[in-house]
Amino acid sequence: MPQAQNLIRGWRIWTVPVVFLLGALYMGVRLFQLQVLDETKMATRVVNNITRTDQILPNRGVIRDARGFLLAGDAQAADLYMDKGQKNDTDLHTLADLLGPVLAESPDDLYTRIRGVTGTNTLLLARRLDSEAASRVRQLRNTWPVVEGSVWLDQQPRRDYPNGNFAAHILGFTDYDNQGQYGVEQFYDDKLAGTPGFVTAERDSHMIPLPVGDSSQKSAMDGADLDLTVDSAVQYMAERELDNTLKQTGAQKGMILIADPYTGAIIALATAPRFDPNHFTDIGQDGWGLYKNPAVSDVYEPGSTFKVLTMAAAIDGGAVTPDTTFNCAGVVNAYGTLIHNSTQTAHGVESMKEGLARSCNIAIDYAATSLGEKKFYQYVQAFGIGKATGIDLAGEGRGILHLPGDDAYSPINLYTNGFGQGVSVTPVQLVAAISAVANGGLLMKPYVVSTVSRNGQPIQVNKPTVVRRVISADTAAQVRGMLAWAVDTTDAGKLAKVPGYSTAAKTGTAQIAGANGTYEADGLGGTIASVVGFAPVDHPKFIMLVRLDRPTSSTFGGETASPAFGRLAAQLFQYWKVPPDQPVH
Amino acid sequence: MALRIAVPNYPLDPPAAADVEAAPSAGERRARLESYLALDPAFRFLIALALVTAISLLYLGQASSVTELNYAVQSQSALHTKLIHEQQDLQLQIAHAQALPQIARTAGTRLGMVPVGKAFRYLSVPAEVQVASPVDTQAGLAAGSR
Repeated sequence: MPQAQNLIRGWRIWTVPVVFLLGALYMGVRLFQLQVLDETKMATRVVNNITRTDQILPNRGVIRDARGFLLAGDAQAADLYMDKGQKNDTDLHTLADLLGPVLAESPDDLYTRIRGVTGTNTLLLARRLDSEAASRVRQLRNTWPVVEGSVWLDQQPRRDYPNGNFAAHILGFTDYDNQGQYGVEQFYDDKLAGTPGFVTAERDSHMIPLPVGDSSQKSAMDGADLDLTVDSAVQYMAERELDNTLKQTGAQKGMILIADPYTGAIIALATAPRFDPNHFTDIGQDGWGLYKNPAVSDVYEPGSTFKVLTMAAAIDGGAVTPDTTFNCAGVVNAYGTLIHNSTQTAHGVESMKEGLARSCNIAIDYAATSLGEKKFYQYVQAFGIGKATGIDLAGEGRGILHLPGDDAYSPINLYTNGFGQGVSVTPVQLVAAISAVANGGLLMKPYVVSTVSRNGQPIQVNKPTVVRRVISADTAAQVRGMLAWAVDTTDAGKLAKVPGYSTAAKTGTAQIAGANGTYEADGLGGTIASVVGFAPVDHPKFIMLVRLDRPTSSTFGGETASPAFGRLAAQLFQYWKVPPDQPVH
Repeated sequence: MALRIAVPNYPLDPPAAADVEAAPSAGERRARLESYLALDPAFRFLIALALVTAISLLYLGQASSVTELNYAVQSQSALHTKLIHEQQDLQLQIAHAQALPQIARTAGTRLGMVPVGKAFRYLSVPAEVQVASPVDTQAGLAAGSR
């Protein structure tokens, strides 16, 4: 037995070291594998675990008006997220009761919304909460464990437009991805947005970069600031006048465009209806079309306002002079189609000056046909019709102009185009074209941004750009004189007149193109009424286009748009302290 | 026979070559120097330990100083960002207060102001006032304001 006991004892004695030895061997092999063979993989895994790349968001540039007032800037906001996983019904009710008032939503609706989300436990409860609401959420997180355990905020910038819907179509807006949409926000998005930076670093438990770890960093470059040519005071006056005019005339929508005829700078662009870029999703029944800038995207037949260009072309081409006379029979036969005056009246012998003042279609056709088809369309193209102006606003259209040789062209077009039918323009095109008459014959490129700057240093300066000379200074002066005479001698013109100031203007009443190439009935609510003019005549301070869509108080531009022109012009003269150039009676 | 004076310890005759102790060579001198530096191994270990400790402490001090500064930089950077955001918010508050629609609303509702409209008339200005220079006008205004 002692021998057997010795054997057992010896076996036990050897077993323990062998087990330890094997264990040590295994650990050694495993360590060798991990630290030598898999060294690269393991090291990478460690680095990946503690290394994180954070994007550094740049500040989007601000937008200021011509006087330096802030029109758009970034405010601090936060997206509100919630994890509803492992939350029972009572918790969800509690959360809805607590968060509902913060989100301006009834607790019942919020509860239903939370319950309605399926397929994921993480849901976005609200986008771009303002700082006040975000602060209330933080208070709730500090007070209620159920909120702290399921709700969190993600800091995000939110574009703030302090003036609400003011100048909305010029500014545009930024969407939830902070991308510019419409207006200058879209056109200058690459400059406004800036360039994001990043920090890649090994971090501690608070995600603060370790000072001795590997790191790389690229600073964000903030977006550039925009200074507009728009004057807020003029913009405000124009919007106020437009809103009042829409109420008075019953027009569905309208716009007023004011520019400097010598530089092409847009001073104001009032539109109605307009949207609030702070709440760009609240567009009601108007739909996405509300975002479109009517000044650059809407094409329409300008009607009689186009006669200014036809007359300028005919005089500059040497076909007629303001005093050239002809016999207006009230109708003209154009290749078998009878074209009448809108009033169906014959004016008899009249001069071009009288014809323009009376808005006589037959006189204009006489001027256009005297000039000839080829020259007429050369001038029309030189005035920029049928081609985008290149204004720095998103979504500009180029209008519709059928030229001889086009499939859609008919020789009758010369007659109808002469008085603004069968040709479509954008408001900004028309203003640019008639500015050439106002400024002495130069077509200027319109623009709304004067300077793009970063940290106060200009990086792009938009200076007045002459596109081309269209008519001579002498022709421009003659047409200005004809328009001023029209304002002084006609009832429609007098409504646009401001006592003490010479004014040149031309009204227009255009039918609205309908389906199948026909026109809608041109009764009340079936026309586009407009007036375009400038003042003072010899050295215009501004050019203004007032356009009203479907007015119901009257169909005529002279009775609906002209009074608005006159009222607004009076305010502009006062604001700019323009001295009167005529005696006040 | 010459006189000899005995001087103690002064060898009258040159010493024999065997009696002269040879000067130590350079190699011997180096060997003796090493013997001066020869330390106890424990003492050597302690000195090495002290050096390593000192260097480690120095590194630790530097590293902690860098870390501290890094946190300070992070904190300042966060503060900088916060101040920029505050500045943006303040600019927006100013812009809200300066917004013309807001001013018009305040003028109408709080101050009871109404648009002038057509409720005005032109005044005839005497000729002598018309020719008054701006300087005179300013002076007049200044005097009136007293």
